[in-house]
Amino acid sequence: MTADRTRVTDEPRSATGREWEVFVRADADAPLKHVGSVTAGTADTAHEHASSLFDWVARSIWVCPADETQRYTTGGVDGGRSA
Amino acid sequence: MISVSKLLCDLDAESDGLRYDAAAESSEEQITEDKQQRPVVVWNLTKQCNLYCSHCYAAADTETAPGELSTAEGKALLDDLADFGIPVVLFSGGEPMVRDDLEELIAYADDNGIRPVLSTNGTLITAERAAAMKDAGLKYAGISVDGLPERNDEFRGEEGAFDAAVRGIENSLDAGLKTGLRYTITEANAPDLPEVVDLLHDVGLDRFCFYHLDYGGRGADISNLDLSPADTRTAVRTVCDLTREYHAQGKEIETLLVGNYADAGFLVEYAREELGDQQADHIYRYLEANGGDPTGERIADVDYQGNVHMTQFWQGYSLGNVRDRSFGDIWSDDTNPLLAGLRDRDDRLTGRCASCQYRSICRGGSRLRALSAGGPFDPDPKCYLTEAEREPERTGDASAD
Ligand code: SF4
Repeated sequence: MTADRTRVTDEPRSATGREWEVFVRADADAPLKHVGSVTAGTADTAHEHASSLFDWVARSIWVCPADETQRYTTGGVDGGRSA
Repeated sequence: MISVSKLLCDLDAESDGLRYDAAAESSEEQITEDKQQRPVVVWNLTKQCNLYCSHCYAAADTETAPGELSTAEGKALLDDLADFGIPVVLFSGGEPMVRDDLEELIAYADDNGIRPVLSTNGTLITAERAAAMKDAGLKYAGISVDGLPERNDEFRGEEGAFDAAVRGIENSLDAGLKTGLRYTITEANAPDLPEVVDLLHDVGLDRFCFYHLDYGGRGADISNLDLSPADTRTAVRTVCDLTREYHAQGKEIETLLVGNYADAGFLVEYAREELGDQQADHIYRYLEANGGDPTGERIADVDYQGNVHMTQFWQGYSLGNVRDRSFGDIWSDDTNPLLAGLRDRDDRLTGRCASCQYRSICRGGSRLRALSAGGPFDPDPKCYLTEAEREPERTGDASAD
């Protein structure tokens, strides 16, 4: 059984580049934590951008293309238009 | 946002300690404790604009970009903001007036107890639309002009933009809307500032907001047009002097500075020199209550695609998206280390900010410009205070050696 989630619409998240979801791990045994997203043309520039924001707290950084990341939610304002 | 006119011309001893100015574009002070804890939300309704300004932080375009929040999503967002206790929503863009549901959204915000205010280039404010926005419940329109006609038109990428903005200002005032100027100060237009104030005061404006350039959107490409520290001092001093001159003549204009909290330290220094120690101390206490640079605390931004940002200028990093999660949940999520770190930044600030006597009224200045210089806790590269102003004891000791 799945909870009452809707899939968030596939609307684009940036018009000036690609959007990248950012995850950081503070210590070797800490959980991977979603900390928002950055706009960048490539994974490497996304990583560079995320580093400037999170180097002071992150041991590892993951960047994942937002347009390849399907989000399913019980909150949010679009009511799962593209679900 | 620092109210120069209030601090230099009519600071009332009775009001000491009263927090003011939560509303970035609101003409009324927000004094309720509860509402003070919530940010003013800038909502970039669209990326589309009818102009193409060189300093646009939203990097707006003449075409509609995909993914704009629909009217229904916008109303759901306003519900969400109302539930969270947001005091003010600033409709911005792009150019918000290109959206034909603007009046509907203004009315919806107003009906839900959020104060709706507008930031616009003014060129689309006809008499009819001004009246419609006023009827919908709009409380304030901030209209951008960035220099005398020729300079403004060059900046805004269209001949006649200045005259069109002035017509917009007149229509707005005629409709009975509280209206003010937004002026982004750059190297190119700093000398025009007093004349623009004179000219628009004659048109009927009495509120003037001066923005320092922040480095988001196309603003980043023209960071080389930003003023030098010496020229910034001159421009801020001009704002202080002209405010006092107007008031001395009985013309009660309101003047505000936005986007560089080194202004707070400068104002205290200015007051000490021009008005005496008592007034300077009083101003310091007032600014301390105001809380310094507002990034991640007293100002928030939702862009046209629903991404939430820590200021309207800082669009390259998003805390989350309102299509996934409510604004209140995103904004309250202190497990985000950057958001939590910036809210509790005083002891994290590095370099010259760490030992600055004005740290608690400035809080390091623009965090976005700091990032352009290195990291989120670095000093704002556009701080223009001298070492003697920042650290009088140290420089005093040095000169004694
Ligand atoms: S040194 Fe830092 S804290 Fe002090 S006024 Fe300049 S930017 Fe603000």
